[in-house]
Formats: sequence, structure tokens, C-alpha cells
Amino acid sequence: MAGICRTRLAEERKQWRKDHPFGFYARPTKAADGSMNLMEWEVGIPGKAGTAWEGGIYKLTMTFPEDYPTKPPKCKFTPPLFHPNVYPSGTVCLSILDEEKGWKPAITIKQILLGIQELLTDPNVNDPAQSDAYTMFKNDRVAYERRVKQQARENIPK
Amino acid sequence: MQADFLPVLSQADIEQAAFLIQSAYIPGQDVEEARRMQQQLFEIQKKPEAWGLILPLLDHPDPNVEFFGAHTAQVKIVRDWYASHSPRFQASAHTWSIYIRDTFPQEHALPLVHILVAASTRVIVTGKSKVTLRKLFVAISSLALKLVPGRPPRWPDWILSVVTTLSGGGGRPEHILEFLEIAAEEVGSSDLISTSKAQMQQSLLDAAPLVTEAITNALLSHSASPSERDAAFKCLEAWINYLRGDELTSIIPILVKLLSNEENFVGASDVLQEVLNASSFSDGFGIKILTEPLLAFLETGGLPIVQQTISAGEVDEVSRSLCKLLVSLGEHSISYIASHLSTTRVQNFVRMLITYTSLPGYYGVDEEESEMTLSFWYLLQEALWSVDYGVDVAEDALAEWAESIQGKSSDARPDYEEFKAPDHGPARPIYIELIQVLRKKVTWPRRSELARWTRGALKYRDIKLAGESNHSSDQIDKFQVYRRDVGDTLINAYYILREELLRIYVDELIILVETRHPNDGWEDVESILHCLMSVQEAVVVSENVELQRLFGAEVIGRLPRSGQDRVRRTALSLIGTYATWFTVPIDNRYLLTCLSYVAEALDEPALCLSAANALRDLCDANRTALAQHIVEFGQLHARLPSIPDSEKAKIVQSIASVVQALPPEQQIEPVETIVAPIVEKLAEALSVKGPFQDAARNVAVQQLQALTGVAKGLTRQSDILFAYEDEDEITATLEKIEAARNDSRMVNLQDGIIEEIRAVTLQWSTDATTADAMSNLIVAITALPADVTLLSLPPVVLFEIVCVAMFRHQSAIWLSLAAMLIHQLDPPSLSSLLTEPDDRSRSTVLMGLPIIYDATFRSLQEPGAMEADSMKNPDVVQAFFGCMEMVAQHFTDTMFDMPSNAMNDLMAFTIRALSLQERYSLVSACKFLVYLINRSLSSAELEEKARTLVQTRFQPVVKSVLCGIAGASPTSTTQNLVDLLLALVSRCPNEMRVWVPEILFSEDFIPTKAQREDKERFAKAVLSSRSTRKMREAAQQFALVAKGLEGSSFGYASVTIHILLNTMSMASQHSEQPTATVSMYQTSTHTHTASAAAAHPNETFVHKTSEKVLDSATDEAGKQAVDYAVDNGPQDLDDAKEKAKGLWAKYCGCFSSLS
Repeated sequence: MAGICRTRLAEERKQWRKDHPFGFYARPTKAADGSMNLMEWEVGIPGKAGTAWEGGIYKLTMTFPEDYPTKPPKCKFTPPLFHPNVYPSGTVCLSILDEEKGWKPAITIKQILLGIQELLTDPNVNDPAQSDAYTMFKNDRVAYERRVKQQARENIPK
Repeated sequence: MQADFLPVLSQADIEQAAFLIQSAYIPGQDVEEARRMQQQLFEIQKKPEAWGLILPLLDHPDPNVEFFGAHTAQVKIVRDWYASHSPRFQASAHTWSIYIRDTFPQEHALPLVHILVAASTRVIVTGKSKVTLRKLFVAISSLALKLVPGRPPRWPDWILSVVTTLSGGGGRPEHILEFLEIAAEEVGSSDLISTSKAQMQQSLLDAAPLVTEAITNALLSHSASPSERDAAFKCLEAWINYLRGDELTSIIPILVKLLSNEENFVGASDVLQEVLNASSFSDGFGIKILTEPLLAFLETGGLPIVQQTISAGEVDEVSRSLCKLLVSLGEHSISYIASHLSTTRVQNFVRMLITYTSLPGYYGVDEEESEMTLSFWYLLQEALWSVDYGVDVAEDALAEWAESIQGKSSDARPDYEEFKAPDHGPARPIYIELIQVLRKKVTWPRRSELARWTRGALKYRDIKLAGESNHSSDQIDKFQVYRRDVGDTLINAYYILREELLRIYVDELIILVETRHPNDGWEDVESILHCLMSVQEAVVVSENVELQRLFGAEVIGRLPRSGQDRVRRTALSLIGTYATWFTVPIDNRYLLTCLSYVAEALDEPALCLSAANALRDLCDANRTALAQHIVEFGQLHARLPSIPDSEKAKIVQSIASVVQALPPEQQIEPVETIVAPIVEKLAEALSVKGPFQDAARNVAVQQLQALTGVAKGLTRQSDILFAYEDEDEITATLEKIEAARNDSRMVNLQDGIIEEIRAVTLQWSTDATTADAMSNLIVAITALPADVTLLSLPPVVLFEIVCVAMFRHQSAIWLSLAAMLIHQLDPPSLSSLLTEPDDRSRSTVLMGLPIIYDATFRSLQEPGAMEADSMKNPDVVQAFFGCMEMVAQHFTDTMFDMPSNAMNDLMAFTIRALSLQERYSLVSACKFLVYLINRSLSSAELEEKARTLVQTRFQPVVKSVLCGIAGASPTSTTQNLVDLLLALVSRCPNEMRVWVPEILFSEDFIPTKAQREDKERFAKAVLSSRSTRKMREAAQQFALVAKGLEGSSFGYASVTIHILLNTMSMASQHSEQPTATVSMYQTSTHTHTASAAAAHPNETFVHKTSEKVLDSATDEAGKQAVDYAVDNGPQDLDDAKEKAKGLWAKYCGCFSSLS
């Protein structure tokens, strides 16, 4: 089980190195001694150009279970994000990340990250995950966009 | 070749088509017109008669028309083919117009092959367009994809037959090679089902010897033309995965040899890259055949190319290809390189790579190659970590060699107490050079040069620098991303060099700031600061001489304090990034130097964001050290009016976090100084009437945000339980806080805040931005007893305010806040596990409940108001049940103390929610009911009322649950429905004994695949079993049977998943006692799984193949239960602390939607 998981993650990393969407980053974390932890990745998702999310790079931790890719990774924004489909803990609520819904072992890290980038600008109204963002998105789109822009400003890369 | 089975079109039709094609391809014509004509052509191609266009168009003298003929052949084969042999498709040439609708008569399939191959030969012989020829090859390959799969294949040996015909018809080797290339590519990119694809691949494997021979001949032939050799390279690239090891082994030496010839270099290099990356030799295989010969070649043949690149000052095609080859070889042979790093050959290889990393000019502007080498450096670091050097002669040689490069003894390296990394002697000088070249590469150009960089799509409006407003550019974006990627590479370098990296950078920095002239730019300084910032995450928080030099007067003290926004912004971010390092107990002056540097930038609009973030991080991490300088923070507070509004909340948060570190009694005065003006401004904003109300509301929102900032700042960093060693200290501290809270100044302040929040609620709570700001404030300003601050407001008052807001306009925000506050009204005691909420709390909830009910039911009374598709109120439904779950958990009795119609309304609403096929609604309603049943029916005081409620109102609930399990609800909700069923069976067995059979066998039960005996089995298992586990399994089994999934692997997968979830869910309920829970649920998981297997003794899935699966499922279930039990408690706590202390009750509500 673990063998498959690590082999797949090594391959994912290789593919990411060869080809990844502009402005994104994704790398396994490192322990203090410099050794790599393939099971946890730090990634950055840029907001789409021409949207209120533009300019920000939103940091996310991907934690892979030992039985990945049978089961999906857990994706958590750190710090938590103001978004209708992000739980207050930062965990992303997305069908392709739910093993009972749309997860398939063939889904790549690149597809997950592009899917989350898409979700940022196009929330799913069927899956409320936090009330603050969901309510504002539903009731006042102008105020919502303004709030998202403020968040983008706080997430400008250093 | 007879082509009389193809439709024959009139000359006029053919000319009309040719005319359209020619018109559509006229250069420079109107785009709309061209599009219209292309659409017409597309329509023509769709017609069955278009088969008749292929040959006439291929014979046309115009190359565009000719190409369209080939294109039509391919389009018709791909799109309008139908492989059926039914009579409908047995059409003859005479019946085209009658029978053919997007089909091709299958008896003419092979003749069509011959026609296309013959047409290809004609194109070759007449020397017509190469593009047309390639398109015909694509059409032939597409035809093979239709004819080869199947038993028996209708076109066996298709490759050989085409090659033979082409060859016999005058085709030269390059034409054959082109066909072979296209054949492999088309098969590779086809989306056939797996068996058909395997058959196609086998047809390629069968042809591999022929292909190898054709390629070898072309590569070895002295008379081969450059185009023939290119065709051979491309063909080989396409066939890499279809050649056997021995075939590849025979070709690789030829390729390596061809690298020596400049004309062949790019072609050979491209193929070798493919061999290194994607063949059976990838991932480090073939040291003798690939790695060593290539390293040997590069030593002699690569260096001149690199030298030529440097002297010419640009990267030509050959040089670019060499760079790619180096990177591919590096990736392929990284372990070899790491373990042979001391050899001259590998050293030369690494040197070439470093040359590409340090190409002159700016990445994205002057060159595009340096970035691709970055991955090599992190791969090398990782590979070095797994190399076992051991102690041998080689090591001595390495050390000697390192010394000769470094010019000093490697013994002079600092001694790292924390991490004694393996001796990576030979790597050190490489990485020392690397960090220096990378530093140069990330240096921004001077402003005059930057002005020439191109404009792009991304706009970082908020970080535009003063005077650089037009520089948002593609190249700037690209360069910024490159800088970040370099930063990642530097982290890897840090693990090799550790403090030496810091020393090198800080040394250079000091020289730069000491020797700079007034007109010198700050770009070099900025780039070093950027590099130092990038490695922070790897730097251990401990005493560090280099960081002391960096953050002392030597560097920070000499950085500009006005203008020069870019270097100052980087310096501010650097300070913020290293905020935790200042907690090391050394001289406070580093912290104060940096703090002063940060504070100076606060009122500059271009820098305030970075400065305020740095200030917040510094103050938060160093609150204790800074508390003794509280007077200076008073001065900072006085500057607040000049600081941009966007950052004011962060400034007061920063100051408040330092105030928090003072003894409680000393916090009173500064808290009053900070908060009183905010409350005053809030009152002023509220008093504004008429046309200026919008502006006043914005001011009010800013004050709410400032109050939130103060409340966050005053919240301690760590739990009080961890802050002190014994309970007496905790009690003493809490008493001091309570005394300070009761000081009249604080009481007045708290009352003032309450009054203003109340007024804001009445005036603006329906405004989305105000509601958001209020939500954040309420979350931050209330706390559980252990986290209480001088400013914390009592949950009773805040709950009342939230009820007022709900009354004005219901929303999920208020419901989530209500859930959080209801939990706080019944807080966990610090001294006892058994607590009862006080009377005031109970009466507060009792007063609030009618408002919550009324506001919610009123807002959701319209039909469809609860459904998600219409984008109505799924958030309100979910948050309402989250709130009810909290009431049922903490104040169950209040629900029964309400007038009976209130409970009736609540039950009617809950039943409505259960009938919705929406996950958010079902899951949250089920969770609430489970709590309601368990809490009320287990209470002596409530049991009678609860029993009456069940008897009068729960039959429809049971019906919803049973229908839901049987398939009316999404599968992902089955677990929650079963939980509710179990609660009902265990608490109301008599009622359930009547209802379950009555509902299951009633005529209006939903149609399912379950037979009467299945229902009987299910009812019996649920009602008579004394084991919760058996009941659960029976319900899961019934769910599968009812949905027709019994016996499918999906069904068993679902059972396993549900058992896992069940285990996790039970573990989470007991997560407060992780140690006990762990062993208990590990055991029970084994039992579950074993029992699941026993329930299906005849299933081959279980018996024949899945013993291992079950074992691992058992292990996994146990492990997950352990992980969940151990992790979930702290996880909840961490989550809760992310916004403010005391928030976790709110999250309990939100988490109810997680499982």
C-alpha cells in the first residue's frame, strides 16, 4: 500500500517538475534535517487573473493518506480562507477531493490544484462549508468581491 | 485502384468545394468571412457525399485544396465511421444517398486503405505538399485504429503492408520513417478501450524490428540526407516505448556518437532526453549504456558548446538542447552523480549545469533556460541525503579536493549542535558557488531597465511600486515566480551549507552596505535580503551569530528609511518572516532595532501592508520581551491617525498583544487608552443621519475591525493550561484577570462596547459587510473561561444581540454565532467534568429559541427555499440544525419547555429537511435528532415528554430514514441515517417494532430492488439484535440490496468504507479519552471486519481475493481510529484558535457537516 503511495507521489512530483501551470508551486515538505516528507506537500495557488482573487497566492497543505491514491489527499488552506466552500479549519470542500463523490485515483495533483483554483472563483452553492463567506456570497456579491480583494491583498507573495 | 464505391460528385460540386477552400485560406481576409466559409466547409464535410471529395481534391493543383482532401479523409474516418456489420450498413455504391447517414460500407474498408496508400504514393512521386502527405498518413493510421482491433483483425500487419507499398511505389526512407512516426503517435494518443489499445500496441511491438532497422540504417548511412536523419530521430522518439531493451541498446551508442556532429546534435539530444525520461531506461537504469557514455561525451563535446554560449552571450538551439540534455541526464542519473561527485567527469558535468543556472541576463527577459536547471539542485541535495559515504580513502580525497577549491580547511566549518548532517564535502563548494550565482540571478534590474520589460496579463495592483505604475508585466510576473522558485532551491542549499549560507550572504551584505556610494542602487542588497528570507523556514530558532549581524546595526541599521520602496519592503518582510527568531533569549536590541525599522514605514501607503504584517508578527511572537517597552507602544498608538485605514486594525492588534503580556492589573490603562477612542468613533458613526450614513457605516466597520484586532491581540498565544506549571498559578492568574475585568474602567468599557454593538445591530446588521465585521468581532471578543481577557464580553449579552440580528434578518452567520454562544453558555469547567448550566444561561436560551425558530421558519417558508439548486438557503438550513444540535446537547430541557406548537413546528421543519435529497440538509437534521433522542430519552425529567413527542411526531422521521437507506437519499448520507435509526431503535424499541415493518411493507414505500424477504431480514436484524454492530451491518446490507448493488465490488467497497467511517465516528465521540479509545476501537474494528466477511460466506470476493484486502482494511480501520482519536481533539482545538480563542463551539456546529 505504502509503496504504491510513495511511488505515485514521486511520479507526481516528476510530472509537476516537467510541467505545471504558471504561478503555482507544489513541493513536499522537509524535516529539520533536510530529509523530504513526500506525504505532505506545501502548495501555492494563484488567484485567476481578471478576478477578485488575482494577485494573491493562497497557501495550501496537501496531506496524503497512506492509501493514496485509493483515497484523496486532504487539502487545507493555511491560514483558513474566506470562501463559501472552505471550512473554518481551512479544509477545502470539493467533490473531487471526496472519496464518496468525485475522487478517482487517476486525478493528478495538477488537476486538483487547477480544480481548487477554479473553485476559488466559482464556488459550489450545494456545499456550504462556512457561513460567513457563503452568506455574503449569497446576499451581496459586491461586498463579497470587495472582501475577496482584501484577502488577495493580504496574500500577495513576499 | 478501383474507387467506384465512393460517391461520384459532379465537376461543378467539386469546383464549388475547391473555391470555398481557396476563399477560406486567402491571407489577410476578414476574420468573420473566413469563419463563415470554414463553417460551410465543415458542413460539407459532414455530408455522406463528402467521401467523394477526397480523391478529386487530392488531385487539385492548389496545395490548400489538396490538403483539404487528405483532411476530409481523416475527418470522415474518425468521425463518420461505424464499425457495425448490420444490414443497414451493407450499402453499395448505388445506395449511398438512401442508406448512408454518417457511416461507411464496411466491405469497402480495405479498398479504402489501398486508395489512401496509393494516394500517398502519388503525392510522394509527384513531389506534392509534405503536409498533405503527413495528413494522409494520419488518415491511414486512423483507419488502422478502426480495422486492426477485433478478432480476427481486418488489417493484420498493417505497418508492414503500408511500408511495403510505399517503398515499392517510390517512397524514400524519410517518407517511410515519417509514416512510422505518425503511426506510433496516433496509436499512443488514441482513446481506444483497453483491449483494443493493447491489440494496437501489439501491432507496433510486432513491427519494432522493422522500425529499428529502418532507423539504424538512416542513422548510420553516410549518404543519408539531413531530412532523412531528422525523420529517423523523430521516428525513434515516437517509438521509444515500443522498442525492446536490446533494440534500444543497439541504438543508444549510435545516438551518443551522433552528438559529436553539430548538425545532428539537436535531433540526437532530443531522442536521448526521451530515452532518459520515458523509456525502459528511465529513472537511473542503464549506467553503462547511458550515464557513463554521456558523461564521457559531455566532458569533451559539451564543454565547447557551453563556452561558445558564454562567448556569444546567447543560447542558440544547440546550446538549449544541451541544457535540456544535462537536466535530463541529471534527473535520470542523480544517484550516480551524488555518489560520484568527487570524480572529475561528474564535476565537469555539474560545472556545465551551474553555467546554465548562472546564464548572463535576466530570466524571462534575456534567457529562458536557467530556470530548468533549478530542479537538479534540489534533486542532488535529496540524493546526497541518501548516499552512504562511509569512511574510506575516497572521503579523504574528497576533503582534500574540497579544501583546494575552498582555499581553506573544511575543518573550519561551524559545528552544528542540532543537526550533524552527513559530511557532504564535495557538495559544499558546489552549493557555495550556487548560492552566489543564484543571488545574482534574482537581482532586479535598475529602474531604467525595468521600464523596458513588457506588459502582461497579470496585474499586481496593490504592490505597484511608487514610480513603477506601468510595470505590471508578463516579464515581471515571470521574474517574480522565478525568484520564488530560486528561493525553494536555496532551502535545499541551506540543508547542505547551513550557517555557512547565512555567513556568505551576510558578509556580502555588509560589504555592500559599507562600501556603497550615494548613487548606487539597492538592488544587490535587496536580492540578498530576498535570499535570506527564502531560507527562513529551514533556519533553527536558536542563537545565531549571522542573524545577529543581520538584524543589528551593521545591516538593518544601514538600510534606507525613506524612498527605496523595494528594498525596504523586502527588509520588512524579512523581519516579519524571522519574527520567531527574536524570541531567542539574547540581547533585546536586535528586536528593538527591527521594531523601530518597521514602525517607521507604517504610515507610508506603499509599505504599510508589509510593515503592519511584520509588526503584527513581531509583537505576537515577542510579547513578553516587548511588554517592558510598553511606553514606546503608547507613542506608536499616538501615530495611529497617520497610518492608512487598511492597516489600523493590525496596529492595534499588535499593541494589544504586547499589552497582554503585562500583569492583568497593568493592562487596564493601556487597554482603555486603545479601546476608548474606538468606541467613541463607533458612537460618532452611529449618530450620523441622512446622506452620510454610508460613509458612517464604513467608519463603523473599521471600528468593529479595530475592536476585533484588539480582542485578538489580548488573547494569549498558548492555552493557559500549558502556560503555568500548577493549578494554583492558573487560578491566581484567572483571579487577577477577573479582578481587572471588574475594575470600573473596564466595566465601563465593556458596557460601552456592548451598547455600540447593540446599536450597530439595530442600524446595520442587514448589511453584508457589517454583518461579517460583527461576526468576526463576536467570535474574537467572547471566550471560554480559560481564555478570558480584560475585554471579553459575556455570552449571555452577545447571544441576545445575535437574536436581535436574527429577528431583523435571518442568516447562517447569526445561527453559527448562536451555536457558538450556546456552547459558551454551558462552558466546560476547569475544575469539574460534571457541570450544569446556570439559570440565567437557561433562561437566555429559552428566550432566544422562539426568535431562532421564528426567524428561520419565516425565512424558509416559501416552497423551494431550502433547496440548493435555486441558490436559496442551504447555509441557513445547515447552520440552523447545527444550532439545534448545540441546544439539544447543552439545553435539551429548554426545547421541551417551549409551548407545544413550537416543538411541533420544529419537528415539521425537521421532517421537511429529511425529505430533501440534499446532503447538507439530511446530515445536519440527522445529527440534531440523534442528540435530541439520546439526551431527552436518557433524562429522567424529560423522558415522559420526549416519549410523547416520539409517539406523536416520529413516525414520518422513521419513514424518511428507511426510505433514505433504501435509496431515496444519496449514498454518502447512509451513515448518518443509520446513526439515527440506531438511536431510535435503542431508545424507542416498542415504537420501532410497530413502525419499521409497517413502513417497510406499506404500499407507498419507495420502489426498491429489495424483495419481501430482504425487508424481513432487515427488519428482524434491526429490531431483534442486541448488538449495535449487527444492526449497523444489517442496515448497510439492506442499503446495498435495495439499490441493487449487492455482490458488486462497489458494494463491498462501500461496506468497508462505512465500517471504517463508523469506527472513526465512534472514536471521535470518545476523543476526549484517546488512550482508552484507541485500544477499544482497534479491537472492535477487527470484529467488525471479520463479521462483515462472515456475513457473506459464499462470496468469492471475500473468500478468494480479499483476505489481504480485509486484513489491510482491518489494519487501516484500526489505524484510522487511532489517528482520528489522537488527532481529532487537538485538531478541533487548533481550528478553533485560528480566528480567536473561544471559537471552537462555533466550529463544532460547522464540523457537523464534515462527516
